[in-house]
Amino acid sequence: MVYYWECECGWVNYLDPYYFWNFEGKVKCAGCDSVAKFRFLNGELMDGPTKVDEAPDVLPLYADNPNEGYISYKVGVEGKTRPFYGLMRDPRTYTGEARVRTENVRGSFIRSMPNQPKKAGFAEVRRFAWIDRKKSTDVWGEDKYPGKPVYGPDVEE
Amino acid sequence: MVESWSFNPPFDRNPETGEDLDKIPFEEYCRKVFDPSKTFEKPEALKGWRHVSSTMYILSPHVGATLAEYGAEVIKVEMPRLGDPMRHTSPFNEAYLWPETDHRPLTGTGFGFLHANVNKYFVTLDYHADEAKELYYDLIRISDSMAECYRPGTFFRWGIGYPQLKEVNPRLIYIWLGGFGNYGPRRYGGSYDILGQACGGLAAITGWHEDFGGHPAKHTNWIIDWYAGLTGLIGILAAAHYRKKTGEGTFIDLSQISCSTRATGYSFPLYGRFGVVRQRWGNWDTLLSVHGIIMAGKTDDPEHPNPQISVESRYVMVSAFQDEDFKELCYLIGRPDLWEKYSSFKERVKPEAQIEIYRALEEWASDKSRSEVVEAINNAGLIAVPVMSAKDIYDAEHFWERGTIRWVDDPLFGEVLTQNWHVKLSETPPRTKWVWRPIGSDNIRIYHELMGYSMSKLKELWEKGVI
Amino acid sequence: MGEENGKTIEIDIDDVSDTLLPRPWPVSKPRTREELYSPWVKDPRDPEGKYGEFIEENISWEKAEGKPWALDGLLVLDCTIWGMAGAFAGSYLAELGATVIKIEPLDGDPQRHLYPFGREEYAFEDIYTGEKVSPTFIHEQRNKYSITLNLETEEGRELFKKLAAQADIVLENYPPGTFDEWGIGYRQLSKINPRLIYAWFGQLGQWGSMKDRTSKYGQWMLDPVGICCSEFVHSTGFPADLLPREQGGNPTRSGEWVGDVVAGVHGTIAILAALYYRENVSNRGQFIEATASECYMDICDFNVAWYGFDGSIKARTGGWDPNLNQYAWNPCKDGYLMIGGQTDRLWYRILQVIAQEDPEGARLIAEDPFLKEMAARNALEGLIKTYTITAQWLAHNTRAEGERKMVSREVAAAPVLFIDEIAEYEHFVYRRHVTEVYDEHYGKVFASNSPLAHQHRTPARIKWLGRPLGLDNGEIFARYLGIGPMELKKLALEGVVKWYRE
Repeated sequence: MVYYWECECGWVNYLDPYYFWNFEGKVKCAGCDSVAKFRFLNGELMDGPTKVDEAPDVLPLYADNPNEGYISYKVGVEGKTRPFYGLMRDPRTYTGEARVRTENVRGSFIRSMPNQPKKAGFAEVRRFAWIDRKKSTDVWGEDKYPGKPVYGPDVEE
Repeated sequence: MVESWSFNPPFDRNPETGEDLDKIPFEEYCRKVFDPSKTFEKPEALKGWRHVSSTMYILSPHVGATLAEYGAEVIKVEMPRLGDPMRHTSPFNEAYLWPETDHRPLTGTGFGFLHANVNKYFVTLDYHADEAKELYYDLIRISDSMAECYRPGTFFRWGIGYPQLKEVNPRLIYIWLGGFGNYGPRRYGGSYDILGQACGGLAAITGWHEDFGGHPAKHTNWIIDWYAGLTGLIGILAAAHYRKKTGEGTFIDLSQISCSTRATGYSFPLYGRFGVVRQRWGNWDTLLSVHGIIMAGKTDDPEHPNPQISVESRYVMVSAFQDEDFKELCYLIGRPDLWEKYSSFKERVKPEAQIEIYRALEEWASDKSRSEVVEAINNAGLIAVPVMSAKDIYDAEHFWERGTIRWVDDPLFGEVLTQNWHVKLSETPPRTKWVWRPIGSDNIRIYHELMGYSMSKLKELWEKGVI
Repeated sequence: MGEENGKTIEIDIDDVSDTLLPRPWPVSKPRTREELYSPWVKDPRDPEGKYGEFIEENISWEKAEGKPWALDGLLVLDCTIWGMAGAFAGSYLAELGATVIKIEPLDGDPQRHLYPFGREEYAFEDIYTGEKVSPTFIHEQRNKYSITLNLETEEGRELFKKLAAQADIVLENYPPGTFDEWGIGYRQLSKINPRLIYAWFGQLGQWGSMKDRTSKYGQWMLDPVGICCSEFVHSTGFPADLLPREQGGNPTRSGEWVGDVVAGVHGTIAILAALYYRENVSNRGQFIEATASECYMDICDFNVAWYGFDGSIKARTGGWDPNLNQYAWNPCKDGYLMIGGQTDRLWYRILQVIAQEDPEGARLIAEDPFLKEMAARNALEGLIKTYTITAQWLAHNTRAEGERKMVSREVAAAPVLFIDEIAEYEHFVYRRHVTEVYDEHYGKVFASNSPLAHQHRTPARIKWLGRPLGLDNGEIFARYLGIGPMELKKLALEGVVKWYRE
């Protein structure tokens, strides 16, 4: 238990290897908000998690709970995990909010995969067929085209 | 009569307007000669060359893609139905493109496949089948070169290795690309790009120094794959030149780790003669000072929703290593004492000096935004450029007017922004015609129209699962 | 940095040259061919060993001596100084057999005097004259003849024109327009020699709104200006969220001048394509322009396309790759180990290896429903979780142990090697990726071999490394220009050439 810290509350906090390689300070558990002091040296845990009652220096990047079906706090959750600015784009992607893309940067129509709706989890689990809203619903309703969407609900923007 | 740019060109006269090309300023001359809008009017360098690409991932398809950009006809052979595994790779699993009329889940292709497969024709062939060998021989008989990336000995077992193909087509240039090479103790190691960086030496010299707490940094994307593919292409073209004299093809064994090792600069002579092992030195340069990347205080657009622009775009590269330039820089940032202390080149380039100088530079820049820093240094007559992100490249005019990036209107996939014209040639420029095609979309075009198999035979092969 | 044990050793060093000891190479000899391909090593991929035999007979570097040269008969004039793009292009052409003449100003290429950290104790000295040269110059300028010619004088330019009349290829990387002003640019040379292929190398371009320029005092734009303007530096390195900025969480450039390397290689391809076109179709040369920023943008494949797709800007991800999971290097006990495996099959094998030592961590990954799908593991959280647990396992393993355990399960794993480890790695020694060249002037020099050294008919070989300045003045001038020693001495007095040993 060096880089992943299993707190007593059942939550596992992931202390990413590069940041915590030579680290000395206090980390807050994302599950129960208790603060513990660590000391790492070249990757080895020198002083284990000792509970203290002070403000934390840093928050973990990610935490999940194996006992409750792996529910998790993703990056950037206020007060629980660190934000991650090195994101490619709009942070909403990583919180699972679906966004249907039909246009590229220039505003032209492209044929691409939309994001998954929230219920599917934090990552694109399975692609579903894309719907062209510009074609009429009678056409789509007539089952003429291969790839008529058979799974995944209609997603609103 | 309008003469063309290429055939029988008068070197000193613009063929369209008759204007004298000798007298105009050099930059205008370059613009006219390298005009990106005329790309498709000019001939292709490698027209008539046919290349068979039995490849996967990035390393080996890139050879074919560059050949295709220069005008060769490249036929990419993939496994039926599955295709190249790179089709199913995309950054953060987000960016996939579908053809307009086909929305079935598995026909999308990820962005990882982009750019290593431009201008190619896609056929499928299952090498394990019995008929595949004869099909492949027929394909090889009409080709000039061939690339493959399977483990050493695999093609030989299937009957299509170099010793066999040499008999079928003695003019064939056969290139094998991979990680560790075709022979040697570790010849069966996999060939990942990141492995090339790790084992080849580039990881040992890239990244922040250990003493500052740094770690070796991976070059973005799959740089070694791409660059090694290019080296392989040099081998093919040189062999083509040789073949013109003697009519013999050849076998090239390209290890991408060797390419990575080749690019390490002075590390190996230093080690061999003096036993000194070169370390990482971050964003600064070991040979020149000042010649590195500093961080400014603010970004240009802190309100932008994308954190890459609002937080990260604030690095500037400053280059002032000659004495006069360094003096000007010291006076600009208000530290003439640095100039007094480090007025000789040799003094400046020492590590302690570099640390002090760059710290002073960053202090000066800590209250300015990126463009202010660049402007201030450029106005003083020195050289500074911002570290540009993809958005900066899109916004800058320079690359658009030079034709480096353009919106390719792909017949199947719509508009894709891609790199178009990397090296400028005045008579036979390389070009991007289309981006990629679905698996096996050119089966008919190649097998039936080019090689002359009958449609009934193709149907038979399809049913057996050979194509 | 590991001083916990209190074990530090102090050494008294009087002079830094006491620490510079040449290494015998190789420290341990690799296995012989018979041991590697012995009959009892039954390899399923090559059951009868026939393929291995064929390869070793024909392709191995040992058989390369005496084979013909691919680009025999081509004459290349290499006028590049400072940057490495032209050096690379010229080296590739020269290793494949072209005759490359490096034309240097009277003081020599400034690269001769660029030492790492200014340390002149790293200089290589000419055995005959004691002339010092830097390791960069030695390594990059291979198989090239060296003459001096002062192109700023009228005489020099006239001589250059005469040389160009006979040459096939000219390489140069002076600031845009310089050669044109001097009357030896493409416009002028192509009239003398329509078959000339003229290549210009640079950072940003000869034309355009951000073209190459010199500073007020004449300083050139060198690498990494080009790669900063391509999108490479922005997306390489560690993000500040994974590593604080003071410790390295910045956009990082490459340790070596790779922009120049890639521009040189792209330029060589363009030159050879133009050569093909000239030989087979048009009998005429071309003007080629290869810039570091654009060539590098070409190989940063989808970064720009992704922006066009939906406005995403590729960010840095440190040692991780955002496209594939388990494709990264992570710190381990004595360095860094890279583990690569994308497919499900490899994923579960990696978990098996981790589970042997850290069953808790393996359970955390194996049970997580969000990581079941191959594509789902690429999300940011998937990467964080996977690599954290992998690093946990790695922190207790050295590189060799980790590699052995992974490879025994057929997962590709490789350590990040330091320079000296690469020099001693058995596979590279066996195949001569790094080699020792016995140079006439500089003695034994250890260098990295050309990647094209393993070919059937025309392998690329290193004949010699960097030359002393102006060594071939007499030979080249006599052969191509018909100028003998008396006239050469006159030219030297006028400041047009510089005599070797002057």
